[in-house]
This record gives sequence, structure tokens and C-alpha cells, in this order.
Amino acid sequence: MRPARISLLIAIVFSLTTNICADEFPAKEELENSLAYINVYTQSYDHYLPWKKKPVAKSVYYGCAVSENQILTTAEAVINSTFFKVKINSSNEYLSAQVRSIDYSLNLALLELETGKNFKPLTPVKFGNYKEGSQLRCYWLNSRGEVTTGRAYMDHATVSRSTTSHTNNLEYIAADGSQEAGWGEIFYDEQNSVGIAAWFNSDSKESGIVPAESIRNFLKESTQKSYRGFGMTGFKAAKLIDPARRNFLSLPENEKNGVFVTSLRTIGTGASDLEINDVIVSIDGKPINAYGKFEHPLYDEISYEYLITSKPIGEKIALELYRNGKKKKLSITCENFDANEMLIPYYQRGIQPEFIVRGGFVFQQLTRPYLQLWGDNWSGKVPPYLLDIYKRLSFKPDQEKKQIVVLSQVIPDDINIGYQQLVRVVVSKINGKNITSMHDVFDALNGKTVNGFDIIEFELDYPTVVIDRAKAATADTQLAEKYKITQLENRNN
Amino acid sequence: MSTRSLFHLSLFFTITSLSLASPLTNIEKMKNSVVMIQSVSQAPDFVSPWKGRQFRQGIGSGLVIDNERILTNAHNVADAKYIIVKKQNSAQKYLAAVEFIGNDCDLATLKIIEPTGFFEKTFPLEIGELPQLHTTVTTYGFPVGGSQLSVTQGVVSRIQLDRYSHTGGDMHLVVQTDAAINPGNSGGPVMQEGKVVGIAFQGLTSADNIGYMIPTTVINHFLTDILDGKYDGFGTLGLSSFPGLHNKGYARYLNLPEDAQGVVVLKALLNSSIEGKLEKNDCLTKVAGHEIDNDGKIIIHDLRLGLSEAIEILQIGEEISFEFYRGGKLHTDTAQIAPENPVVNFSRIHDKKPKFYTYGGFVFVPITRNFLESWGNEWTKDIPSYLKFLFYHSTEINKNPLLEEYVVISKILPDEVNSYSEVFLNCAIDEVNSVKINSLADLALAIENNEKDFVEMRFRDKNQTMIIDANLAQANNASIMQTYNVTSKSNLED
Repeated sequence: MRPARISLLIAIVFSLTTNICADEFPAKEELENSLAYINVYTQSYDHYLPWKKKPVAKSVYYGCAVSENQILTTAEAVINSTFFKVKINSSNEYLSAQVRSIDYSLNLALLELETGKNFKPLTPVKFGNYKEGSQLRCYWLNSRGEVTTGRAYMDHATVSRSTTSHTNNLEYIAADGSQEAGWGEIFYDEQNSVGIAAWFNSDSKESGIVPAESIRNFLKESTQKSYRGFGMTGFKAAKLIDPARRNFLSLPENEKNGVFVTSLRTIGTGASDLEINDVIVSIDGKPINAYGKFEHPLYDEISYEYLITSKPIGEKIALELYRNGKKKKLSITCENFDANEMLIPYYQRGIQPEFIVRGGFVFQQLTRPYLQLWGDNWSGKVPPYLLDIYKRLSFKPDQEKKQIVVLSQVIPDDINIGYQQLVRVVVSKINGKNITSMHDVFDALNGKTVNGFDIIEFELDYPTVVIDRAKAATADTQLAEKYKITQLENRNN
Repeated sequence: MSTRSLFHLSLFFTITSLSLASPLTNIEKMKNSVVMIQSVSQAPDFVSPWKGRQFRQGIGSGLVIDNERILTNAHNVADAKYIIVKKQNSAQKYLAAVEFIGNDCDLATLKIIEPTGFFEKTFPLEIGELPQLHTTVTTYGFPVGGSQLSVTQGVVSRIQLDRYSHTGGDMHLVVQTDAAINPGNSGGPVMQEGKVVGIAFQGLTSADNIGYMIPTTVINHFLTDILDGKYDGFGTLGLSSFPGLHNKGYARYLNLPEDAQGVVVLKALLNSSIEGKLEKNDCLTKVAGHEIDNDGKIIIHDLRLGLSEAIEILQIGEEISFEFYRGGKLHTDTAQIAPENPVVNFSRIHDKKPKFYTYGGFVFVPITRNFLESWGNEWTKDIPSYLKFLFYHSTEINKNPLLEEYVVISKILPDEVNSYSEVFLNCAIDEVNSVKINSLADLALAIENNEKDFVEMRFRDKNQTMIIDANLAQANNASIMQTYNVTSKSNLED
């Protein structure tokens, strides 16, 4: 009986405290001058007909003020954007905005408002710290300029893949959401904001929150002359709990920590410093356990990747590892890379794909957006050869292959008769020269012919394509006219 | 027996077949010579190869041919454990056994175990020629399980090379007809002027009234093949070619004379009989005396068919001549028709014990279509992407002439030996303790001969290696086999 009574008492005290806390959330009016409603207009390129843009699309996101005239929102909101219409509480008019900086890894973007004479400066919000289990309230400005709210609670912090990138970043998970907050709504834990909403899962009622910590990092970087960004991993490591493997890697009996490197990229942090089967036991002095987790003072156990993806590039990272059974210390530099540096770019945003039409043959770069043309569950539908390159080599560009160039399609014409079934094949050589990128394709197709012909060779057992260059020039002009191809090539420097 | 649900069953079909009016002179003869075949078959499990799969019962048709043999479809009797043959006018069931089976051409001959009385009143049916297009043919058989002989008529609408669905990977000549061909018709004769012009064998689910028969060119190939007491099957040259010479620029680049027609050689396959004889960018203009046109077609049997028909009609071991242009000059050469031995066979395997090897709870099998089909009806979509890549591209990516097959881990029977190895399921093995693995036999040998404390397995296109504690595996092998009822450690025989 006694213990039961005690626990009851505790429960009462607890519920009292929560009530008090709930009262400390900002009132709606307090945030009126800090939130923004954003209409985003986007237009992306058609990756199958790369001379064409797709229809304009409109979507709604939310933002919050981080200075008098700057609005923070998710990077997702500004992908392929052409125009912003921003509504704030103090004005009935829409304001235009420009993108100041974007970080796709962090999923954050900074917009700057174009302000007029009567502009009333915004009140910047304050970002605080994470507290597990705390009550949360989310706020956003609706299309009529009114502040609206919802409730949730802070479930846990995790390191997971950002919705707009391939990197694994810190993320907070808000559970039991009363509203579908996933488009830039701001979350408060009492008086301070803990982050902005990046996604909402309607099945689990969870929101993913871009943490205040990442936002502070992002805003600090945004004040720099040029935005440097944060680390990306240049290797993959796996848990090391198999005793046979620990023995095989000659780890000492008393060493209980460590993950082992299973694959190396050619770009990113550690790519050129680590070796396969290195066992990483600590990063920046933090012991990494056999599951790849370390003890964070706020977040409990989270993935080691946080130690790289939250670090500004250029800074040093201290590694402790076992290599061939011997303990070793390494100091490596934090690095990242642009999607365009990947062998198969993870995304291509705001830029037109590079391509060239020659004799009706359309050559372009293999990118993830191109593979996504196959629709939902695309990985089950794309040609297996292309999928294999994507899965194995995306992060492994090298001197021999900086990009993958495909013959994407053949626009039917007399000049390419016999070849019209040839699609989605990887170009290996043009006029005898190895093709390592689109740059090489442009060079080769504008350089010397082989007796008047352009000779295209492919990987695997595909036939050699022979194009009569003189005839192709006329044919392409006619093709462009007939099939409404507004551009026969696009080069981005 | 149904040809793996290629057919659409409906009452409509039965009505059409009844509406037949033309009197058939030899109906009595046919009634005695077309027989019903009932069988119970059991295919092995290609994931856990020591096990058998569910029994399947089926009904099909067959016909009596010379030497007291019954000719039928291979798919009626493939993997059969029990075969019964029945004649229409008698209740007696005769036990039968497969004499020869050609799964690649979907044909088999059966022998009656106790033939007393069986062949009374039967007439061996004579194998005729290819039927002419647009002529009438009559099919005989026992469709959808009826016990009376059903007779339908139709017109020969098309003769072409097409896929045989029994193995899914073989292409041979087929004759298309609009005569009603339904499940159960399989193996029954298609007649014209008193002679067999085909064996009904498959249909289409997506179209009404399209039935296919195996033509006599294929039947004769099978019957000739087995004369020596052994079925060898259809052979190949190992040619990969491209009909691209419609393009004048291509023809000029290849230095071909103005009027030359043919196909461009893409590759002479590794270990094939034309390896070293033909090479990329040769232009093949003639095969066995037949001129090849720019579509890759030849005139043969008075029909315009794919050039492979010239190879199809020959037996393994026979010579074939060919002409080709290389560097503007015409060359002639000959090559032998050879058995096909691809690294991954596109054809489904029947009547063979699957190969496998077990060690430490790991089950190793070669990649076969049967193994991949264990992913279910949508297997081409559902199989792991790397296996799909190997299945579709093995001939193109493989540069190793010694490679016989890809070996993968098909199953892991849980034990402390393999507690940490789930991630390697379905991965293709490349090396064991630095020894190159070209076949399942290589793998077995490398493991059996290992003297180290570890077996380190390296996989194709994968950095992470798998580590097995060799002493632990050795110690636990017997108990794992007992726990999981693995009745045999391995089968390394083809």
C-alpha cells in the first residue's frame, strides 16, 4: 500500500509542474510579428526532355524571423523556386523575397524580404536547447496572417537522413502531434524555440524537427563571406559486435568499443585518410561504442556521424583507431562536397541538366533525378546496369569517371535509322577518346571527326553508333523544328 | 496440364470447340492414338535444396508414335514422380515413365511400363512437314480435364521464332493458330492431311484464340537428337549481333560494299565456338548458305525467319558455314554448333537435383532462374538489385573464362556461427581466403581445404568481407544440420 500512495503523490506534483510550464509558452500575439506565411512557386527541368521546363507548381511553407528582414524556412521550400510571395502579420500586402543561403544537408534556407517604406521590422525568435520529454507547441502564420498553434512532445534526438540530402544529420522527433506540422512551422519548448518542422508522418503523428542547434550553426555560417557548410562522411562504417570479426581484426580483448570501416568514398571527410577494416574507437575524444554510438550530454546515445556532420568544414577531427591491430591517432580535416561532384549527383536543383542533341541522339548526365523518372519505387524499375552504378559508385567519382554520360534517347529521324531502339546506355568513348564527363562529350563532338563521322562507343555489348557530322547538322535543325526542341545543347560552364 | 496459367479458361471456348461440323475421316484412328496423360510432379526447392516443394497434379495429352513411344510436352511430365496414361475408350490406367525429356524444346517421349494391350488398335502417327500459312489444321486432345477427345479446327496464322514458356529462356520456332488450345490440350497432336504438323503446347492469357504449337522442325530435332540414346538439346554459336545496317553511315564506317546486307557482330561470347573467329564490328552476311538481310532475317523453309533458325535446325557438333565482312574484305569460315554454358542460365531447370553446399548454417547455391523465381510471381521486380544485375548482364560483364556460375548465400540457418552474417544473404561470393571462386565446387573445396582459424569470404562488388570462425563452424556443423533437418550436406553434381 505504501509505495502506491507515494507514487500517486509524485504524479500530482508532476502534473502541477506541467501545468505551470504550459503557461509559459509564448502567447499567439507574442509571435505575431515573428512568423511568415510563404507561397513558393517552383519550376524544375524535365530530365527526360532537358530543354524543357515542367509546369509551374505552387506550394505553401512557413517561416520565422531571424532578423528584422530575414526569414528562416526549410531548404525543401526553396528547391527549384522561381518566386516567393511572403505574408507577414503587420502587412496585408505580399512581400517578395530572395534566397540568401541554402544548406540542403541541414535542410535550412534563409530568405531576405524585399521591404518597402512602410515595412515594420520583424521580431527575431530565440532558439533554445533540447530537453527530452518536454511539452512542445508549434506555431505558424496562416494565409490570413493569424497565428495558429498545435501541441506535441519531444520524443528523442536522432541522427538520420535529411529529407533534402544524402547526409545523416541531427534531428529531433516530436511525437503525438495534434497538427500536421512538417513545412517550416516553429516548435517551442516553453519560451525558447527548439527548431522548425521538416516533415510530418501522418501514420505515426510524428514531426521531424530541424534542431535549434543546427539553426544556430547555419545562421552563424550564413554571416560568413562565403557559406562553407558542414562535414559529410567519406566512408561507411558498420557495427562491430561479431566476436569472430573482432578477433579477425586483431582487436585487444579489453577493447569493447569501435566500428569498422566497410567502404570508402572518394569524396568527403576521411575518404583519403581511412582504410577498409580500420576500427574507429573515438572521434574528437568521444568513445564510439560497437554500435557506432557515443554519449552526448543532451541527446543520450547518438550516431558518430553527428561528430562529422555538425562540424564546419576545414576544422580538424581527431580520430583514434586500430589499423591492422595497432592503435593509431589520425587528425583529419572536415570536408564536404557539392552534389555535382558526385559521380551520380544526388540532386540537381535550380540548374538545367547538361545535354547535347547530335543527329537526334540525346546525350546527358546520369543523375538521381534522371533515375527518379521511373516513378515510385524507381529502384525496382530502372535498368539494372544503371542501378548498379548508382548504388555502388555514386560517391566514388575518380579521374577515369567524373560523371556517367548516357545516350538517353534517340529522336527518330532518317539519320539515326537502325539505332532508334538504343536507349539508356552508358557512353564509353567518342571518336576514340574516353568519356569521363559531359565536358568530354562536348569537346569530342566539337573536335576532330573520324573521316567525317562521330563514332560513339558504349559500355557492355552495345553497337557502335556512327553519325555523319555534316548530315547531323542539317538533321538536327530540322528535328528541332519538328519536335519543338528549343535548344540543341546546354552547357553549364 | 496447364502451361503455367498462360490460358484464360472460359465456357466460351468449350462452345466454340463443339461448333465444329466438318466430318473427320480418321477420327477412330485418332481416338485410339491420342492419349490422356496424368502426372504428379514435385520440383525441388532451390533455396533449401535438400527439400522438395509441393506436389502438383496435372492432365495433358500425348500421341502414339513409332517404336511404341508416346510423344508429349516436357511440361506434362517434368519433375514427375508418377505418370499414368489413359486411352479414351478404356478405364485402364497404364503406368508410364519418361524415356527422354527435352525441357528446352518442351518435348518428351514416354514408355508404358507394362504395355500389354496398350498398343492394340493404336497407330503410330507420322510426323509431317511445316504447315503452310493460312491452311487449316485440326487439334486433338483432352482440354480442361474432359475424358473425351476434343477436336478443334483453326487456321495457321503465323510461323515465327518465339519463347517457350516451359523454361522461359528458350526461343524456337512456333506455329500460331486460332484453333482453340486450352489447358489439357498440351502435348496433343495438331494434324493436317493425316500427318502431325505440330504439338499443341502454349497459349496467351492476353489474347483470345491464339494458340501455339511446336512445329515439326523442332519435333524432328528432338527425335533425331535422342537416336544416340542421349538428349543433348539445342546448341548455339554464341553470337551477339545487331541489325543496324539500315543506317548507311554505319555501313560506310564498317567499309561495307554498297549493296551488302547483314547484321553487325557485337560480340562472340566467351567460351563460344565462334570466339576468335568473329569479332565486334564484323558484318555477318551469310549463314549456312542463307543470305542475311538488314533485319537479321533469312529465307528458310520458304519463310522469312530470324537467322538463328539456320542454327536451330542443326544438332550440337554439326558444322555451320558463314560469311562476313571485316575491314572491307569478305571472309568465310565454319564453326561447330556447341552446347550453351552461360554463367547464369535464363532457362528454368527441370529434372535435375539442385546444386548446393552447406557450412556453418550457410546454404550456398549457384544463381539459377529457379532460385530467383523463389521471390514469387513478381520476381523480376522483387529480387535484390544486384542479383537482377547479374542475371541480366552476366554475359556482358564477365571477362573471366573460368567462371562457371555465381555462387550466393541462399539461406542462413540461425546458429552462433552466423549470428552476425544476415547482411550477406544473397551476396555473390568472389573469393574465399583469397582463393578465386568460379563454381560451387570451388567454394566447397576452398572451405574443406581451409586450415586457418577463419574463413574470410569476399563478395563481388562489395568491400565488406564475411568472417566465419572456422573452428566453431566445424564444431557446430553436425548439430546445425540436425536442428534444421538438413538431410544432405551438399550436392555438387550437375
